[in-house]
Amino acid sequence: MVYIFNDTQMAEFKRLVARYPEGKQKSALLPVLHLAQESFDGWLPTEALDYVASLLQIEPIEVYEVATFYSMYNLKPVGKYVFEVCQTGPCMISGSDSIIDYIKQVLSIQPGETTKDGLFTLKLVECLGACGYAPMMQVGKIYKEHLTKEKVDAIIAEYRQVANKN
Amino acid sequence: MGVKLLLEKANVPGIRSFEVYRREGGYRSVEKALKEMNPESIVEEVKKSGLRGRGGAGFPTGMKWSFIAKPEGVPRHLVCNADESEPGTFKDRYLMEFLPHLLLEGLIVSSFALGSNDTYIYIRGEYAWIPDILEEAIEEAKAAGFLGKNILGTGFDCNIHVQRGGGAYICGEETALIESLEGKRGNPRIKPPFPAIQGLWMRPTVVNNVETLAAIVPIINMGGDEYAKIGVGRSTGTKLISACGNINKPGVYEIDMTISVEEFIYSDEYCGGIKGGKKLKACIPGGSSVPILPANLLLKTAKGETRYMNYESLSDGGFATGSMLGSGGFIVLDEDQCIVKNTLTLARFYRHESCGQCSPCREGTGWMEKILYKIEHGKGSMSDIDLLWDIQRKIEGNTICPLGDAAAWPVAAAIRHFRDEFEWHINNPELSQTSNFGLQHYADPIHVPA
Repeated sequence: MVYIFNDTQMAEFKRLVARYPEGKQKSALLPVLHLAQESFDGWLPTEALDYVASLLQIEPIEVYEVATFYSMYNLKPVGKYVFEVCQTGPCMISGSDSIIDYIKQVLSIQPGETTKDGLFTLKLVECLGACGYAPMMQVGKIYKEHLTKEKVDAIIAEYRQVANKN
Repeated sequence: MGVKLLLEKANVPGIRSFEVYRREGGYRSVEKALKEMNPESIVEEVKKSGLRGRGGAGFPTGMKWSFIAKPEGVPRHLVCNADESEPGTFKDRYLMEFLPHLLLEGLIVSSFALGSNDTYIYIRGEYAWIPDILEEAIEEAKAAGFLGKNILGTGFDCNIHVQRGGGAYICGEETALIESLEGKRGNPRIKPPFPAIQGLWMRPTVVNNVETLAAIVPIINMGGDEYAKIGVGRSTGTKLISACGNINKPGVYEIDMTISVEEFIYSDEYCGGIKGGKKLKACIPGGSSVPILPANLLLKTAKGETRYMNYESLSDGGFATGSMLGSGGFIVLDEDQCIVKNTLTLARFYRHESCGQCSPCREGTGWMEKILYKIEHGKGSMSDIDLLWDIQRKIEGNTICPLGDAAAWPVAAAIRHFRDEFEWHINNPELSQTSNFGLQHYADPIHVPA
C-alpha cells in the first residue's frame, strides 16, 4: 500500500486547506485525517500519519497526538464494514445490550475484533446523537437506527451481498 | 398546538432546498438585518429577546455577543457549535438535516452582527452525512447572493465553512472546540482570556449553538420584544426538546416553555406517554449531565407545585430537589429500568470522554465507573456508596472545564434520590443480577412540609 493521495484525493485536500487563513493550514488536520482514513483502507498506519504531516508541513508528533485523541481515527486495521454500536444510557435503556449480544453471536466476534473474512468489525461506542431512534449503530457514514435482531440480520446480509459482488 | 418558530416549516416538502425555503419566506431576516439594521441594533434586538444559549449553559446570547473585542485590523470569527454530543440530545442534528437554510440564515445575520467574514460550523464527526447537506445549502445560498462577496449589494462579505470533528464529546466545550478547529487535541483552555477576546487563532471569537443561531431568525423577523413575549419569565421564546427513552413517541419537539412536564410526557402532541403502558420511574430532563429526578420530583416541585418545561421551573429546588433544562435532552426511564446500570453507562461515557488534562476528572471518572461496575455486578459494599459520593464531590468545581461537573452531577443525583436502590443492589448481590428494584416509592406523592 502506497500512502499518497491520488489526483481526486489531492483536489479534496486542497479544498479542505483553502478554508483557513494563510499559515493556518494545521486547522485542516482533522478533516484531512478523515480523508486519509477513507482513502487508505479505513485506518491510519504511521506511514499515513507521516504523509499527512508532510502535506500540512507540521511535525509528525502533531498528527500523532491528534490521531490518538479522537475516537473516529482507527489506528489498527479494521474490517470493510465497522459496526459502531452505541451503548450509552438512552440506547442502553432502549435495548442496546441485546443488540450487541446478538451481533457478537452472529458474527462470532468480540468488541474490537474483526471477522475472519475481513468484512465486519464490532466497535462499542459512546453516544452518537440518535437517542430517539435507539438502539442504533453507525456503519461508515450511515446511521442504522431502530435496530432489531431481524434488522441486524438484514444489514449483515446486505453487506455480504455487496462484498460478494465486488 | 404551541407556538412554532423554528420547526413551523419543517414538514413542507422540499424545504431543504433554497428555492422552497425562500418561497416559504426564508432569508427575510438577512434582507432586514443587512439593509435596515446595523450590527449594534441587531445585538440590541437579541438582548431584548432574552434568548439564552440553547447548547445547555443557558447564558444570555445578546450579552455574550456584546463582549466581543474589536481591535483594529484583527479579523473576528463566529463559530457554530454543532458538536452535539450530550447523551439524550439530537435536536441540532434535526435542524441541520431538515432545515439547513434556517441555520445558514441565522449564521449570516449573526456573522453580520459580529463582523465575521469567515464563519465556521464545527460539526461532530459522526454526523458524517450532514456536511454534504450543509455544503449544498451553502452553494445554493451563494448562487442566490446571500453568501460570498458583497451580499445583497451591501458590501458585507461572508463565507461559511463546515468542519467535521473527530469524535470527542469534549469538543462541545467552546475552548476545546476552538483548539480542535485549530487542528489540535480537544483540551479546553484556561479562561481568561475568554474566546470573545482571544479565541480562534487568538482572534476575537463567539461560539454559539446551532439552535441558538437558528433562533436569531425569528428574533430579527418579529423583533426582540415580541420574541420575549413568548414563554415565561427568563425562559423566553421556544426550545427544542429531544425526547427519548421509554416513551411512545421519541423525537424532536418545539415547545414554548409554558407547558408542564406532565403534559409533555403524557400528551399525544409530544411524548405520548410511557411505552407499553408502564409507569414513569425517573427522568433526566436536560441531557445526561443534569441531575436525574424520580417521577414524583419530576412532575411536582418539592413545594408540591406543578413543574414546567422551562429553565426556572426545572431548576426549582436547586440540586437538592430540582434539575436543569440544559440542552433539552429529555431521557425518560420506565419502572423496569435500573438506576445503577443507567448511572454506570453515564459514568463510562464521561470516563471515555474526559480529555485527561485535570487529575480530578481523569482519575475520578475512572474510579466512579469502576465502583459502579462493582455495584452493578453484585460485588459492591456499603462503603462504596460513600466513596462514590466523596469522589464526585472532589471532581465538581475542581477542573478547567465543566466536563468534571457534568460527570459528577449524574452520580451525585442518582445517589441522592435512589440511595435505597444502590443499597438493595449491595444487599442482594445475586437477586440484583436477575431482577430489578422496580418502581418502589419513586412515584409516590411528595410529602410537603407544612
